[in-house]
Amino acid sequence: MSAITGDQVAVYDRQLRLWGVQAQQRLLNAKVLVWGLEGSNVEACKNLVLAGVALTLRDHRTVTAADVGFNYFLRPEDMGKFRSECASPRVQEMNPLGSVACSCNKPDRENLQDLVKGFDVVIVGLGVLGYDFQLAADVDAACRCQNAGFMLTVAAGELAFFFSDLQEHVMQERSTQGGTEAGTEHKPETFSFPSFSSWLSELPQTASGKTDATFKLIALFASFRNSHKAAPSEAKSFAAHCKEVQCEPKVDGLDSLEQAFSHFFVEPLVHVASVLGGLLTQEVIKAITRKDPPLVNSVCFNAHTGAALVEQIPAAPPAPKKRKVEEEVADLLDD
Amino acid sequence: MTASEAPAAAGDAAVKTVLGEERFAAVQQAKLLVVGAGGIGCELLKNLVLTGFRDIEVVDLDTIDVSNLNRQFLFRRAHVDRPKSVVAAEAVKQFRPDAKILSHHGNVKDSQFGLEFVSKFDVVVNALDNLEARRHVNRLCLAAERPLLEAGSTGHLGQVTVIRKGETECFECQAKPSQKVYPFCTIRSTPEKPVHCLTWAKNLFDLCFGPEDESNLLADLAAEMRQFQSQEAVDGEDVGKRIFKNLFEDDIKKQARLEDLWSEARPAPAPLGFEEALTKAERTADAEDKLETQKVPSVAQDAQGFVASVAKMYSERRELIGQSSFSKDDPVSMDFVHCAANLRMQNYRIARLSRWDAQSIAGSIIPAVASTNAIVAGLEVVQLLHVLQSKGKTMRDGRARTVWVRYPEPSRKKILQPSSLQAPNPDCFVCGSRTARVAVKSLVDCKIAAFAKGCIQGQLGAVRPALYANGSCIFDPEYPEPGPDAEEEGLHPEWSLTEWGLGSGSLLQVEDEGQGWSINLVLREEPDLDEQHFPNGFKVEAGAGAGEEAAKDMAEKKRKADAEAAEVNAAKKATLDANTVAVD
Repeated sequence: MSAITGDQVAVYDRQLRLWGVQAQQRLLNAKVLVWGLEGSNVEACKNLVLAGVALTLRDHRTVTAADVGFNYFLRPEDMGKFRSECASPRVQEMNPLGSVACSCNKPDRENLQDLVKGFDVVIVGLGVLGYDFQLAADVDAACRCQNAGFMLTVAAGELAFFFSDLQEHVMQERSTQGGTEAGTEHKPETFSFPSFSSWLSELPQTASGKTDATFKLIALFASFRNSHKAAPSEAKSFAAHCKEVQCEPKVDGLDSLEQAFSHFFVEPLVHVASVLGGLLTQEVIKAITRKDPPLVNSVCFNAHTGAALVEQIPAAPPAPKKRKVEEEVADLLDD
Repeated sequence: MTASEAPAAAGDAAVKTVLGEERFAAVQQAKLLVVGAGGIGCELLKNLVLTGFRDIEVVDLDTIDVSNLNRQFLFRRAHVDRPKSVVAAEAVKQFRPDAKILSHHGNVKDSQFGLEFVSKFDVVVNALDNLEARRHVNRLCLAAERPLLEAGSTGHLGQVTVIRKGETECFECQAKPSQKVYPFCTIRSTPEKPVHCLTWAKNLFDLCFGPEDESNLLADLAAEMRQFQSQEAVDGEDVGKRIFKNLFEDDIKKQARLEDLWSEARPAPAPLGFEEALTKAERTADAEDKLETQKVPSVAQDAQGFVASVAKMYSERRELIGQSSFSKDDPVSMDFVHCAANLRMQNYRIARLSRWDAQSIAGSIIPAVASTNAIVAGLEVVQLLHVLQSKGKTMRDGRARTVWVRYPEPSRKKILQPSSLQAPNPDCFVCGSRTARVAVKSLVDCKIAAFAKGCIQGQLGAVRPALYANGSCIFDPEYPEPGPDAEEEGLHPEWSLTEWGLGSGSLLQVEDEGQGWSINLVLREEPDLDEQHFPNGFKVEAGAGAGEEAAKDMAEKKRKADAEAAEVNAAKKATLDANTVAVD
């Protein structure tokens, strides 16, 4: 590990005082792939490059007028060019001490492992995957093979969501006092994350269970995608699908399921992305620094209520019941 | 439409799809004042402009420093030393050239940003890091009857809330811990902690290199210091060594002789000569992963560093001697303060500090990172949209909430946790009863000007207070100094409270025209006032903590509060405590 330079100390001073030298060194040595310059991922790019993390921006899509209106790394003159190619020098400019690379290639379904190889964390937007939840599960599987953390972001206007899979994550230390001091106490602890395919296998339970309406809405979108196209014009069939599976969640702030569905295809409002991108960044930083307990594994934010919820999906299996010694003895005697 | 206008139109269309016609129209019409263009401010301006807000003015007094660049993402290295408000406005205008953004480089407490100015806006959005300015903007908004979005962040924690006169708690409805003041004798003769020595060293720097200031804790040493400094053909190194000998050797010898002060538990300080200091070159063992600046220097390094910093003032900044003041971001003054404080710690057998830790304490540095500010600034816009929709109903009936940023674990599954806005506190000395009691140690010794500055400004948060008793003005902020001008107005800033005819039980009216705020004070003499806790010689009992009755009342209210409120209050306090040190 190379020593932190004086120049880095001057710029990173306020965060060094938050998470300490060791965590900063881990951040400086980390590589994160941001796949899909959309929604909260744009915010994550900003937060992570400022923190000193090396980024690779990947997006095969070209810039539209709406992208420029939303993404402050893009300019009117970029329209028609590749998103990642235009954004990367401007992301880099925010932190000349950091490093930003880019790729404009279309994802190759067959070579996902090569694509995620060498990254500590991979952040993927659902949009860049063509709203293909199965492809997202394949990317997660590739990340598992390559030992990379996986985060998936989904946005819908005033709602935003992310899923994270850090596999078997070992937290090595904890900040004291809500993270206001660099001092730490050492207490390694392991967190087990379910894969995204097990998240998908839980869809019916998520959609009908006691969880928050935003999680249900995303689960319904995923199950709808098994048989339908991803296009705003499908809003009516989405509502019908929800009726059919007898799950019609009422999301705070949204009038109808048709409206909710159509919002999956517009960028989230920037302030909504700002909130979720901030939370997402904290999780990436926890993954890299191995400091502080991560959020397992689904997080949603609803701008109408101002609340962000954390839920483990599928829920952890109930801890095996401890049997009383007498019972065990009785069992042994029976044998 | 030209090609460059297309993105703005497409962006607006997307926002309109999500917000709907009515909410989007409110966004486009709103006229906003943003106070602060720092950590929260940069994120906020970006969020506002890209969400469709078109009419914004931003005020900030600060200029850009290198240590801002890890989170204030609108700034680049080339912008260092330029005004934050100006650079931030230029940067976000690039995102949306059609937005009207006016920047003001100035202090929001200046009279040009008074009631008339604030009344121009529909909503005020705070992005501040210090309590003083937040208290001031709170009062301006109460007086101008404008809704205020309030936000703060500390490390990974933060909170956002909404304030509207008569409908919600104001920023001061709950007592805010004031900045810690240390007793004079602790700083001068009996320091026990590093912070006491750092406070001493900061005063020493200002004494040696700043303008004359009677309120400097070391003001009585001024003549002596000037004597060392005014020698003809001064050689900075020589000045440094003379000051060294005077403060760390001769003065300490005198102190050590004051036998009453010292005991076994508190041993007398040990004098330190310069040559002797140079022999102490050993360093304590530090963890390997520490940065050089995080390691504690040797006593010899402190001694050399002290003399070198004085020499530098003479060789590089001679023209600034007499007008400098301590700044944690100025390496020379920081070196001076770190070394001087460490040498004093050596005198008093206090464990010395690394430069890193000294800077944290002397500069009251708050750790800060982009992600928290992004969350907080996003939540402010969330609440702002609710405020714009609240026409015709009170704020507490709408969707606006206080939201707490939790870290690292959620509280009952919520990592961002909303809680209902609270009703105003009827006892609040700012928005409620507007009465407070003040205990004064000695009415004979307390000059009216010192009372106005230390108590009314310092503790009650006024900016330009006028004081009235028995129907006549006894202190006017236009005449803070004694002299013929003041006398012509019948004013005597140098008179004591007794000389003005004030005694225990006297009533005093305070008015701050700039803040549109007034308060009635009941005076009481309390000769036993504990100097340790009230080194200025007065104690304010205001708002939530006003007297025993109020305390009883509060206890009753506390019992009634449900579990969630208690939890929320604890978090609020934790954040506020952390914010206390945020006075930059």
